[in-house]
Amino acid sequence: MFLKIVEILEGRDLIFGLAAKDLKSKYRYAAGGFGWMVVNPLAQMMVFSFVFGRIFKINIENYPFFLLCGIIPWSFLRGSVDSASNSILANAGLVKKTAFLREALPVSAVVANLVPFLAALFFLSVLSFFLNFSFNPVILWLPVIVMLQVILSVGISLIVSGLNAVYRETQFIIEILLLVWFYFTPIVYNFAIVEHALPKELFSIYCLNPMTGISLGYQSVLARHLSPDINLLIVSALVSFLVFFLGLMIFSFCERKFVDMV
Amino acid sequence: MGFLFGLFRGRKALQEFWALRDISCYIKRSEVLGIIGENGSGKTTLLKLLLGITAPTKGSIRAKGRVAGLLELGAGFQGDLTGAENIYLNGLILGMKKQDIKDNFDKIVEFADIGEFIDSPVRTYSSGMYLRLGFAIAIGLDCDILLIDEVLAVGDEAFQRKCFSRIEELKDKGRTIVFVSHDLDAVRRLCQRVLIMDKGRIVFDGEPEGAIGRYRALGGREYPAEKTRSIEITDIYLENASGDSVDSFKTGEELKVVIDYLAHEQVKDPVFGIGIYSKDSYLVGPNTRDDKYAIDDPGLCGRVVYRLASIPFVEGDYKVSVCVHDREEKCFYDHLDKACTFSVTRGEKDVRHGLIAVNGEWALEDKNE
Repeated sequence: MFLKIVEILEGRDLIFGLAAKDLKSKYRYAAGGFGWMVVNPLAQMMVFSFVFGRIFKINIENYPFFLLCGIIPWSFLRGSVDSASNSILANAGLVKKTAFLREALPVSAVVANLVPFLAALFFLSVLSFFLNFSFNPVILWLPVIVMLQVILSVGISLIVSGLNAVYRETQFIIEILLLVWFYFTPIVYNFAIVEHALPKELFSIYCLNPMTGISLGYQSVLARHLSPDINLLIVSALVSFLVFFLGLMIFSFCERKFVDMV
Repeated sequence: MGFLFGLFRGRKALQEFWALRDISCYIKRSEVLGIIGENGSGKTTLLKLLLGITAPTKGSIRAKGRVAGLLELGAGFQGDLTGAENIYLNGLILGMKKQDIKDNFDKIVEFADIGEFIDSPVRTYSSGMYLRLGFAIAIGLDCDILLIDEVLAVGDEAFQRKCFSRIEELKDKGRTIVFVSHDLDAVRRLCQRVLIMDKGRIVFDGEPEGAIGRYRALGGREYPAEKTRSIEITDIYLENASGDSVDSFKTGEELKVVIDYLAHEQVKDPVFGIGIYSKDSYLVGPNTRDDKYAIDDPGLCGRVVYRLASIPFVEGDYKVSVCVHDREEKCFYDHLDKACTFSVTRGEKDVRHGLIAVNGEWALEDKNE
């Protein structure tokens, strides 16, 4: 298990190489190139401002920005999972003809999605600064939250890529799970209302959701300029690490079948 | 550094299929091992196991040292990236460290010899360039054990020669090489030891010459698949001394192989050859070139006869193959594998032992004089 982690760290050249390949393929021949990484969040911001500012008002301060703080990280998770679920299948030739660290494929999918996410996050930080007009040290929490999310994303990516290569129905199940998960995370609504809306047991499960702590973290730091909820963040951390190790195990288990099933 | 592997392997998900069975083999350091066999005999699966791409279903396999291999050229080439970028990526995938790739980069580019195209996206390459780059990357790897799977059949002659001399260089440097090929000539040149695989098992393990002979006897396809049909063999049969077309002979009798042909094109200096096989061995393979019988102008049609005044074959069943090709054996006009069968029964001399009958004499001599 830990050997695998060492192998993954040692294979970082390959992981970055694969991620670079994905990003180059995606952006290089598009007019505007890598600029599109920032254009997307910018566009979302404008659309949300219009819709939620003029048409459909929500009683949360600066709702468009608040929404963006939840949606952008979610897009990172979503993008990672989508890329990863196909990563083994898309590279079937490689998997069947060469011996290399297979985990590098889903991990590089996460890294490839991380780059545009960081660009968008930078954009959000700048906006956050303009909303507050001062540099708030709570922003130093961001790297921690991002790291946790990366660990979680890698774990899920490992699970999804491994399972989907062998059991092709996985991608469809994941679609549905992600849909439910999105609404089970405080992204479009305020966390505060959840405690009262749900019965005790369901609320406990809700808090076990790793993305709860993480999303709240982003919202607190960027939109409210407050430190994140430590308890929830710790829960997120524990669950994320758990998912990560589970991911390594499931991937190893599935890997043996790759050559026959891919 | 060597291999030790004993294993059974291989499962298709839909139907159980053992790609390999009862394999037990030890490969020594610096040994150059050739593996030949029909398609589907398990050669590639064996290489995949050696490379670590897949694991044995039963048994184990161990390699001491870095193993690198070439199963498919360009496995991992990304169309949008340039040749140079692909060298880096492929090198990483094949397990090299970034620094190693940087060190070997120039050597690889030089070997590939594709000029400025190295900086163009790979999807603009011709298939020849694709192959050259793929091979250049694989051959530029620093490894202890090198596996090559039938990839040398590609590329033009000049490049093939380059690849060959490079492999020979590595052989001189003491690398362990496992070479899978249908090119029996190459196997003979490079390898010190040859395995024959058939339906997942090793059926022969020994000297190259013996292996090639056995492979041909087993029905291995050693002739290239393309026949140009410039000269077409229309009939082949056997005749005895009386001129009757028969398929049964006695040891020591006269046997004639009659080959009728048609020439569809003007061909100069064709070489006709036959091969006679027993159940286990490739016995004789005379041809007009080796026997110094030149055929300058075969004309539009004709008949070639090979006469054996007294066949040395012992009791048994035999098959005859025939082929016609150019002097260098590069271009095959036609060939018929095991087209004829004949059987041999005991002749005048009651020969019971050995592979062939010889004309020897016994004499009782007086020692004292």
